[in-house]
Amino acid sequence: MTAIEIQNMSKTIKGQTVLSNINLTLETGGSYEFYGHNGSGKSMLFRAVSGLIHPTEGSVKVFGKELGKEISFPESMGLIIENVGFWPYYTGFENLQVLASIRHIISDEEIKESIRRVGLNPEDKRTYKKYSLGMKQRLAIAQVVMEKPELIILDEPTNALDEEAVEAVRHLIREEQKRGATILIASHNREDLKQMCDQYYKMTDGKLEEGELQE
Amino acid sequence: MRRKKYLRDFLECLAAAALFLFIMVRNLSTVQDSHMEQYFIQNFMGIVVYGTDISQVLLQIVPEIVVFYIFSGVFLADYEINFVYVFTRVGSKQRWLLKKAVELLMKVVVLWLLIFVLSFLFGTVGGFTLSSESMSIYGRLFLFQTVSMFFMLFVQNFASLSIGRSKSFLLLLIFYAASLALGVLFYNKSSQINLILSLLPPSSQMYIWHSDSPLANLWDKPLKGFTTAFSMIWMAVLFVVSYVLSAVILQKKDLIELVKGESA
Repeated sequence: MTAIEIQNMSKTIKGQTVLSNINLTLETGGSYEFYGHNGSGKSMLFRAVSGLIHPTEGSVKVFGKELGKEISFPESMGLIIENVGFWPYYTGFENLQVLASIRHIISDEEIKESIRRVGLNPEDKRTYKKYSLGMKQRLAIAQVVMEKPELIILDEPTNALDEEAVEAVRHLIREEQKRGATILIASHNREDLKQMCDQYYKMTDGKLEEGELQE
Repeated sequence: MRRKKYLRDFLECLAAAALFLFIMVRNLSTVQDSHMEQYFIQNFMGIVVYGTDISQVLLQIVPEIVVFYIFSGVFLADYEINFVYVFTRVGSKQRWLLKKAVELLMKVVVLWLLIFVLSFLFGTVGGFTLSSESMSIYGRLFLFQTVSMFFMLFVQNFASLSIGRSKSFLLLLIFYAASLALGVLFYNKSSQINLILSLLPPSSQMYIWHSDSPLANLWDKPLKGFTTAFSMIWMAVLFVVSYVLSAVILQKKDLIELVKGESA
């Protein structure tokens, strides 16, 4: 089954083409890495797939439904995109509880479990503003996986993480792969997530080309 | 967690309502009549300025301004955090807008219920008595306050997504004060000006300006044709138009382009 189908998609912002004639089909359950320099268009591509921007031309379908026409956003998606940020005066657990209360599909215990999976303590009484950069990033990853989404989009998930935390992210991605989630990862540091994906794509100046596994 | 959020919302409303205590206490001694509705009218009838001293307008709208400020960040609250976490869970931009509009309406309604309950308690302590004949006055006063305030806050909150809370609040403040000052200066000067005044949203809050209020005879001449029904229908039309316009803008524009918040 096709998870994502992008046809002839281009995006122009203020006269500048940031995505150029992208055609891409990704199968359900696969994991895909997009690499390229900063500004190459990886984040913009992820924004388009997550419904945060509309293509100037072409279309994006996620699990058969066209974004912007049939649905605003993919129906089952967890993502890290842009800057990580939560409510500063709530604890990590409380932050995820507020987000989980929007859809009501998981219990408090499942929220706690997702926090444990990223190496944080759900009983930690510290508020988010007292978290270190690495803890903030881990919490962001916990919010991605907590509702067991079918589509996972991770834009630079290993930013600000130490080696131990990067290993935890690798482990988490492997678990999500086993669960059958479709995973899209963007990274400019390819060492972090080396050999984790089924397919690789390179982005250069808003254009997409088949990439290769870095040895 | 939800309890913590509701408590925070309630405390916000309580803080806003507290500002109206000054008006309630002052009016305990200024109302000669012993009827509760007279006390309520005195508290919530709107701006009364003798002469053309518009500085009195600014003094009298202080509680409303504080309420506007307290509720000016309802839409942007979801942007304190990475807003994509919220939006992608709500699933649809339209659903999000509806949810936020309902949340804002509930906050305004709860606030005014609280203010009315406080007013009733003060009135009872002050020796005012309720009469069943004038119950509709309470309803009208409540409608005038909540409907116009909700509409203005809705527009300001939506604008805050693009231009930030501070700028949108400042614009609302200027619009609100200028509209009422215009009313004070040009009230009943000509039929055209009266028409413009009755179309301005802050006028709907002014019970005293309505031609079918029991105060109409006391207050010079009311705005001709500015009835409760006209006021409410006009506010409903304005709200529907603004809501549809906001929904279209939200749907058409890229979220990342639309939502700039304080960085605008």
